[in-house]
Amino acid sequence: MPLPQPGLPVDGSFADGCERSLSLGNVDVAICSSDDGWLEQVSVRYGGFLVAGMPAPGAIRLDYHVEGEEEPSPEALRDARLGGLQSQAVEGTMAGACVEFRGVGFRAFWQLAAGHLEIWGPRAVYPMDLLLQALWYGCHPHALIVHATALSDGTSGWLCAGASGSGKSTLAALLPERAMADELVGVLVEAGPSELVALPFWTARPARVPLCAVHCLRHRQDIEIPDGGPHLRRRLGVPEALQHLRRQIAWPTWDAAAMARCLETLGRVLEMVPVYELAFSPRAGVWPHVIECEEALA
Amino acid sequence: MVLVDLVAKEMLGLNAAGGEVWEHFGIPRDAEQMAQALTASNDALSAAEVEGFVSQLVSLGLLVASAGPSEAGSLPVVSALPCSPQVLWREEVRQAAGTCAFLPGSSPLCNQAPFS
Repeated sequence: MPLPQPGLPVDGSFADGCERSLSLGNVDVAICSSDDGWLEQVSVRYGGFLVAGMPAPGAIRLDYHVEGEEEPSPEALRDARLGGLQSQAVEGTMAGACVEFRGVGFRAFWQLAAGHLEIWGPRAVYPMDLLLQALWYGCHPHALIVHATALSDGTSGWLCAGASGSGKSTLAALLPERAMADELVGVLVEAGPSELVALPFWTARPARVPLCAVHCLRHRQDIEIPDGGPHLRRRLGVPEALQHLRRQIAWPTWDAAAMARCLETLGRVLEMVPVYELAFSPRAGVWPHVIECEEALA
Repeated sequence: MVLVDLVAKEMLGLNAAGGEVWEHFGIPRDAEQMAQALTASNDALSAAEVEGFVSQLVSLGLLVASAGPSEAGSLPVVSALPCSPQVLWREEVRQAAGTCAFLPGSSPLCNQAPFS
């Protein structure tokens, strides 16, 4: 899939009828719908990431068309979310290159040159959740979404990745003033140091900071922690770091080109940023062990 | 080397020797001739090891057995391999859809109160 050219003209007319937007790394997404019920769900889901008023020039316009009156049941929502996202390029459209996305109960078309994403689906936010990932990977040449918690001291960030139950949410709860995002975190690799970007899923607050280090969280009971040491931390080599982190990437399996870029990006991060294994006791004193790290390479 | 099979939604890791062998399958090859070419320059490598590796890739759907002609005339000069070609690991590649971010409250692990 070729990278798109975000399409909002400088005068902002492209966003007519769009009352709010959210920031997704380097791109703003203008959110547009005539369905108040859906917009209310968007407000609840994306909360602090939403900005009222006109988005910045270069934004992507997202139009959501609600189909049907009934809202999906919780069971149907769960199955629909687990269904994930598929895509295929559509050639020869009037507006130029276009990608069609499909998931359980919804479909979408993204006109890359026009920067316009249209979605048809139920009165639910899961299609937008799934498609925001596609926008993230589609708009950033070197990016990752990691199953992790992001912590920050305001100037630097630490990515704490691990399987469910490894302590991500526990860390965020222990250090609420340090927590940027829980569960899914964006990583951008551009000129200069890698960056952590909070994404608008589950619990997060808008933030973007240089990435200082990555911690691969381990269940404390899986590692023998020496007497008197409530935390265990060791530097990982690239192969071992790859072994841990590849399982925590939210891969863009809907797009072969994005998968290739994602793999390359993971390799660049592992070359530039120190990766540690960290097992910890659930107490706030873990913070000094999180921030202790060697210099990341620019 | 890392291979991604988007049809099977799997990722596979090959060792260095496996990666080198894989590079030579960009065009149709005869597995037996490939094994001969590899073993000729690698005393420690047996034809059975190469053919076993190729069979494994075929069984995983990464190579397709074909009755068509191979390009035997362009067999590679293969440098000494450090070890036998192997598939080191094989894992499912997943989207974010199964994480607690998309399924809050769906299991005890997804029930933790978010930070405030």
